[in-house]
Amino acid sequence: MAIYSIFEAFFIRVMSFIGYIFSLLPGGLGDPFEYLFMQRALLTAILVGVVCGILSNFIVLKKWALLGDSISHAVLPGVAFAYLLGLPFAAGAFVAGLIAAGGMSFIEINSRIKEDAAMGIILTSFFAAGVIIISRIATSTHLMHILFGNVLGVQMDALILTAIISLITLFFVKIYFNELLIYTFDPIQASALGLNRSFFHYGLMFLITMTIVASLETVGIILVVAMLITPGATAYLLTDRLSIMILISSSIGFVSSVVGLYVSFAYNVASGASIVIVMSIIFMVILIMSPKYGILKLDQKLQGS
Amino acid sequence: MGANQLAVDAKTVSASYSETKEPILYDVNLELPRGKFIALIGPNGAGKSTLFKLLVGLKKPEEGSIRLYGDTVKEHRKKQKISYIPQEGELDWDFPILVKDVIKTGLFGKRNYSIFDKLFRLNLYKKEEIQKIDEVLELVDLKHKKNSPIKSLSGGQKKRVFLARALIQDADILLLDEPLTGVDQQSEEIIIDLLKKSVADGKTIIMASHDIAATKEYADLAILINKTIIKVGDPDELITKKWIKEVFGKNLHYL
Repeated sequence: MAIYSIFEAFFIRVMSFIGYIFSLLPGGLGDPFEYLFMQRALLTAILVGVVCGILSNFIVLKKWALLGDSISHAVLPGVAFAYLLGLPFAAGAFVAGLIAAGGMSFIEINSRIKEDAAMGIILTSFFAAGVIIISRIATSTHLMHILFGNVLGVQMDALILTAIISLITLFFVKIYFNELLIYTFDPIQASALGLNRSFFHYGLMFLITMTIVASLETVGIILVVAMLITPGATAYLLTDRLSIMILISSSIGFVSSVVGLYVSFAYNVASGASIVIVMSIIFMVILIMSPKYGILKLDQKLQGS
Repeated sequence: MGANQLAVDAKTVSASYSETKEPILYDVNLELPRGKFIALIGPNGAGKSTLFKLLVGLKKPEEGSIRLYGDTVKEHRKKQKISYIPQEGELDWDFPILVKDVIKTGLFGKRNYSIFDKLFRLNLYKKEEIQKIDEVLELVDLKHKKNSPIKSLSGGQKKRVFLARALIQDADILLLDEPLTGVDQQSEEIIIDLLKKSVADGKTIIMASHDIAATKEYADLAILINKTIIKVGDPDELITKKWIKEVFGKNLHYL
């Protein structure tokens, strides 16, 4: 495909550029990134980190954290089936996501069970079904890779899929920034202004689902939940403007991916988990130190003295 | 009066909760003229907020039809001429948004940028529009709060910000849900003053308020509502012991 080869050519250049930049670092610091697989891993991790960072703002502000968790678990059987039938992962994940969402609202409407319990039941049962299918069709290493990711083994086509989803998300958020702001802040006024709320609701859901699929190979579907919540939550403690919050959270995604990957290579530990731990450490520091909303309330103390 | 001269023209409208199908409103017939200050009076759970949701198109009526300024709700929404001022508890005040950004959401309808512009331009607001923000904030006496986060404002100040947004939006219908609950004296005066001015400019205001006694002073028209429209008429005639007992099912001591 034409798009594929354009992306491929582009990424090969970007990767050799990354290799060059890192070779300039003193004292062998950049050594890990002289390998092609590390360059590919770095690019993929950065893309996933930034896109998850952007989407995490909306997840935090719309209080969708449990929903993100549910989607990530519910896509597993879809991915397994797609693998079984030789279809693209994204298609399977999408169908499974739809069925899960339908199942949740079915339980909610037809019984006295409330939303959170319905979500919990659906996500765990879908996840269990996925684990059963995978344990029948593949070795346990394969299952481990889907659950926890294996960014060091990322191939070019996974990188390109991630890049396409990242571009769609970036365009969507930039083009509809004002609409998304009204939709998340004041849904009734959004409706009065004639905005199509379903478009933004399902648009965001679709992007979250696609991002989860893209991150299958990097951090895996369990830890992606952290990437979809932590950067937004961290940025939320730092600013009072959505635009700045998006910039901060995507930067946190970027930095955590680079540092996490480096730690993972240097100490030979799991890459997805390293990225998430770096992110969590940043969160912890901000939680305590944030001038305005941190536990120490440094702002007030400085003004007081 | 011709149908096109009406601000709101609702015919046999009913609405219910989506889960239980229990009716919230039934057989609502309303013909409200333009350019009036209209008070919506009824007990909690009478369907006041639901009526507002029907008017902004957030909820679809199960039966009946609604016309605003002669248009269907859908057509009227496209013109972006309706503004809603929310109740205190309806929004998440921790939302990261500055006062001036809240006002900008009212300018939204005036935007005609292409997708290309939206994608590559950082600032989508013209100089005149930024100036307009200052003007409306001046009107509600909150210019000094322009760059403050919305959560740092008092209840009354928040209401004034949303009123300023309705002004910049140039809405022809303003819906206010309990705008004076938990509002300080100064804010209340500014709000009522501006609302009266807006009515003089030909805007239609529909306001739900618990303060029934005060409503008598400024409303041109009162709607008594409890699951359906009980009566529409002159506030002096409707805000009396007899009618209030009819709507609320009990005497209200302060009348």
